[in-house]
Amino acid sequence: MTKFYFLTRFTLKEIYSQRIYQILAGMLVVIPWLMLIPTSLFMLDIGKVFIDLLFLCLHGWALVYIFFIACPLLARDLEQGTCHIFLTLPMSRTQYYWSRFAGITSGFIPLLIVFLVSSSLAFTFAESIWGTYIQTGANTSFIYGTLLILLPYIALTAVLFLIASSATGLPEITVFLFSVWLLCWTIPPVLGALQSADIQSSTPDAIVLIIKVANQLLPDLSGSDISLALAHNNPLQSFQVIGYCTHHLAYALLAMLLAITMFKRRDLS
Amino acid sequence: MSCLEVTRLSKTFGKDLALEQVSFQIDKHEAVGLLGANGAGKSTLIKCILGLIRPDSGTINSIEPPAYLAELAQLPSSLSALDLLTYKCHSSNHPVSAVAASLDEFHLTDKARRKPVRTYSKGMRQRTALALTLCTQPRLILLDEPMSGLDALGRAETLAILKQRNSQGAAMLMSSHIVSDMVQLCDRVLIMAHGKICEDIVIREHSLHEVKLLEEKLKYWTESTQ
Repeated sequence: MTKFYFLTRFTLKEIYSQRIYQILAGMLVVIPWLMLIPTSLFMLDIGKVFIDLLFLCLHGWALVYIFFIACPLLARDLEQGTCHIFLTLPMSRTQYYWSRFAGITSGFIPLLIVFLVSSSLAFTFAESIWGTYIQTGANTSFIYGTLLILLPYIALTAVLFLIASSATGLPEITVFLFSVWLLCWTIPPVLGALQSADIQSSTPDAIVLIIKVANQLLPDLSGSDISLALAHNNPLQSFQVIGYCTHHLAYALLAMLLAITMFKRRDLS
Repeated sequence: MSCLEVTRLSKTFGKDLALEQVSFQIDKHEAVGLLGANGAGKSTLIKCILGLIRPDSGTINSIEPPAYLAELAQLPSSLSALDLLTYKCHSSNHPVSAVAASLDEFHLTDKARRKPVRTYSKGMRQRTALALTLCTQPRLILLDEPMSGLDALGRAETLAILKQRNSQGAAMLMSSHIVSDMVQLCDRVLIMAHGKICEDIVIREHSLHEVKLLEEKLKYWTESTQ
């Protein structure tokens, strides 16, 4: 447990000391305020537009964090042999992987705090200008939505560890993770289109099956329309929220268990 | 008393035989060199001992998990030497007071030790890696090309530190291409070629003659087993 704690802390320190992380944190202070500019171009539902734009930013920075901070950190460990420093402490590969995962996911927290504080201030400012055009409780909906939208990115981080468990370097990890991310966004609309009887009849059964299986295997990054429901002030059932959280946390756990099993079997030459 | 005992260790990568029935042992206070051409299996052997590579067969017994210095050690570049050594001591339940002494021993100045590793020269990085390996006073040390990136003065200093650790009771297994360093530090040299230990040579004197003898033996075994 001590080794787990120290490596998690060490990982966080490594992440904090990276310039790209500091730049990202700085940008998160400014971006919510910049989002007021495109929001001001709309005449109606200003609050909803503002929330939609902030959610878009959230998807953006979470992705930047995973691709530009988490991926290189893990790839360097494997590619350049930095993980040997930790594994020869000695430390088990299971401990090493969980500690790195805990460190990397904890790295989201300061960014999330910066983003939420800056966005809330921008919301307060927007309310003072546009007043009645922003529905009451929009700020609270936004905070809930932010927390819920970030969960799939924890699952995506677990997928990163799964890919890294058998990958040899940064290009491989980045390409495979990007492919997973792309598929996560493209499969749900395709499945939506397959609801139409015409399209379903003209698509081979094998293809439909592959798409459905892929949809089950990949993390659901779209947020199960939860962000949309929040932005548009639609009531959310508690079982929906619990189901959504359980799904993503269980997905992350299973992906990590599989990743550790694979990582334990590989040679680190 | 044996610090490390390797028995009939074999490893293949696909169809390539990396290690074939390798057996040897290292006693307390003993410094053993691994000498071989590129691809002889030195690094694979060290990584098998460390558990980084899973051997196909054979056994490895050691008194404690060995400390390890990798060839061209890649340290986390955004952290300082102080951060790295502090982490190592914390994780190994070793007193953190050893950090400053270890950094002093490797001439990492007070200013340099607080800077990120990415700003260090190659020699400084290697010295940091050595300090990281030795700061917990290990009893068994595995060194893969420890002199890599060091200038003549750095090499001499490192050799002196390794000799001192050896005289204090630490057992060592060092792979290197520099035969003269090996003769200066090691009590025995294992010549490796094509995944096998071909000869176990005891170093009787630290002389140029011994260096030439080792070079000739290395050449002989590398060519004869091809």
